[in-house]
Amino acid sequence: MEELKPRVKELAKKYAEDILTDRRHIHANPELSFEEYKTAEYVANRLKSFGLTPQEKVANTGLTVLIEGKNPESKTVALRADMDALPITEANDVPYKSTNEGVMHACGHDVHTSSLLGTARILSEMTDSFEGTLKLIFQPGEEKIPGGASLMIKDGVLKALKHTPAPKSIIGQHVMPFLPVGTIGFREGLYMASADEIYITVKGKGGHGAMPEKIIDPVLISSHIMVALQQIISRNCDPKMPSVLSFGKVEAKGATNIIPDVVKIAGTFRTYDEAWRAEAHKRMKKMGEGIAEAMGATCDFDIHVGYPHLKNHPALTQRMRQAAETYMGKENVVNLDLWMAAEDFAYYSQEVDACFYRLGTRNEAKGIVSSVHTPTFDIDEDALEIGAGLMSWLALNELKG
Amino acid sequence: MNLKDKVKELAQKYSNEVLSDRRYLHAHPELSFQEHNTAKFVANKLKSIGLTPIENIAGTGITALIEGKKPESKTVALRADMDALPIVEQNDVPYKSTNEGVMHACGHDVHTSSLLGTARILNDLRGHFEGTFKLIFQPGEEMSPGGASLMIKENVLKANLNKAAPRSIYAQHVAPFIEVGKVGFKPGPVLASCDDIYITVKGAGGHAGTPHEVVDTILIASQIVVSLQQIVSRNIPPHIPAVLSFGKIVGEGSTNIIPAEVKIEGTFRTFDEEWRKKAHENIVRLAKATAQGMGGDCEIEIEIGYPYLNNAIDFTERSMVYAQEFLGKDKVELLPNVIMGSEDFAFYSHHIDACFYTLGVKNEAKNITDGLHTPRFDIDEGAVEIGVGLMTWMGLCELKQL
Repeated sequence: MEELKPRVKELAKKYAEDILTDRRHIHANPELSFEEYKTAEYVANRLKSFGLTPQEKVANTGLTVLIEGKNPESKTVALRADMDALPITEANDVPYKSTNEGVMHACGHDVHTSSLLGTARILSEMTDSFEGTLKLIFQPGEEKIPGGASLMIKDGVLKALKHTPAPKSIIGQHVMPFLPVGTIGFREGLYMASADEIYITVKGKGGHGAMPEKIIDPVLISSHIMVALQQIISRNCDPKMPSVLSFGKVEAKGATNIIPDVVKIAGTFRTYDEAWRAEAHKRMKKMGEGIAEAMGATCDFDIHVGYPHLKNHPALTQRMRQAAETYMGKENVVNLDLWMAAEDFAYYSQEVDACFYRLGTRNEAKGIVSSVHTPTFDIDEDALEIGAGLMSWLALNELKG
Repeated sequence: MNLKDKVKELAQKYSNEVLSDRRYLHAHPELSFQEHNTAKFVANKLKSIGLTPIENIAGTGITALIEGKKPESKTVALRADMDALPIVEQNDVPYKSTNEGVMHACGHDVHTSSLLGTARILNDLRGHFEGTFKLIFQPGEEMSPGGASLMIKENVLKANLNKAAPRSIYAQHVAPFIEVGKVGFKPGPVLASCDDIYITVKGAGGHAGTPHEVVDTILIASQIVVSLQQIVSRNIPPHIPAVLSFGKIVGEGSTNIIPAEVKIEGTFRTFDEEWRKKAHENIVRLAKATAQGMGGDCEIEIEIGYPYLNNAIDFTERSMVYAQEFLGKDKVELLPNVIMGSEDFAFYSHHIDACFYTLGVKNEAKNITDGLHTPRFDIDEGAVEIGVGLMTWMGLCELKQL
């Protein structure tokens, strides 16, 4: 195995320039979730140019491609990238700035996709060096419910295909502007939260603020509901289970002396256990509806179920971490904290052994420090060669292990 | 002919003029403190009667004296308000507002034209009473700080031109909940004080997934709205009517973003000046402590509005008797309850004896039932002659008995 490392590094270096070109092309031509037509076409053409045969139009704009080594039927490992961009107007002044005004790769999916293209090219030149099959997944719509991952799974990407068996494990990476370029982060077990959006509409009876006996006050009732629902976290949830319930928006459009008919509240619920998550949904709904009813009103308690929590398979993640230490040097591999944001890679992690790791992209000296989902997000592009090489190396290790 | 019949006869005689004044005012409404054309109209009418109005009091206000025999002996004040509301009229009537977006939806056109009618009658009856009537046409009843408070600052309740300071003051208000032909009285407290409350909750905004890094303004605002209810249920003596309502909350984050600031707006109304002040202190203390106890803070602004309106008990009870004499016993109602609305006539009621009564304008048969401050508010115009005659009669009776 060790003997393959120089080869991977050599190929990563050799194709670094092309990966950079791919990244910049994709960055300059971003497309919104589930509208990644040109991106998918670009990816397909690149894969074909490497001599590969992509399967297109999976979940509409998704693609998969197999890279078969020796004994391709023995084992499959999946590698995943996401392709969609965000509805943000780019504020960076760079040659590869978005040419699609109002849309921007502000979450690094351009990096994930170009990096996986690099990995495809490296591995397609090493097919006589490994046994088994690599299945590359380029998915649409990570940023939008129901999540491209869930649709790709529905279309069978985690199942056996032709003579290649179903993937036993899947690896994905994500840019991390809080980690310096050249470093990689791992976390075993629970990593990212499930995220559900909560929309509550409290319906009372509006009227004059001076006549409380004639109205049913949705302003007061919604306040009671928001206060009471906090006990879902403090009194119903196992204290060892990270959970958060936040309301960020309240719309009560009356006036000092006019009580409105309706108050709308919007929030988010995040946690790390699917059974508790389902139970919490039931309890929140019951509590909200019960309080509204007890106070003479009704409430529509609408939960938009989002992504599940993302769990990194402990043994797989340990193996990947050790392999990364070999490739990067021990000092460049760090532990990650829980991250309460959500990511649709979580769907894969509910189905097969999964490892989602972080690629450092920060460079304070170059002023590259902005967070993902901001109009000034960018990466230190040195991360591209590392990303493509490392994922190749991890895939080879996992096929062997 | 006795005086009562004379008043009735004159009220009838002038009813067409009063109606025409009312319709002119209704068709030409002006917003609070902008009643320039209305004031000019009123002043010209008063002059045409032969009176000498004092104009430009508190901007657009007017007073006029009508002197009987021994004019310096005693004074009774009669008050009308002149401003309209920012409402688009939806009535299809010949006298519909010609000032788009402004409407006499609170009957001040009726109050003003009615007082002009009363002025005509009293002027005709100068030889029949001793003392002086002071007519007050005030601006801006609908807008803080209230035209009444400004008129009082301009000394309308003080002695002037060798006349005595008014000892009592009358005002009427149209009531769409009372049948035309009837009037309503309530001795003692009748309308509430009204203060606007503006609270800005300040915390630390941020991502909804990191509660340990934010100070949650939405939750603090909710706690404040919930806990402030105890001002009414636990702090104020249960026999004092009080209400605290919040009608507006602005928390403009999103499902996953906690905003740094949330604004709450409400109204506090009650019937006791001492408890009103204490409630203000308690609201500030409780809201601040709640916010600070949760790691945030809040700014509270209480815009002090009108005080509660207190009808002097003896004066109002006497006036009910005057009204019964004039209209018949069955036409005078005792209003059963206080009303939580508010009215700047309240300012006068904290200086001198005041009587604020309601003039029925409802007519279900004619489908005239819409509430005040609605775009379809109107009156049965039969009420105008009654309003003119009744205020004249009660003024004469009160001046006599002082």
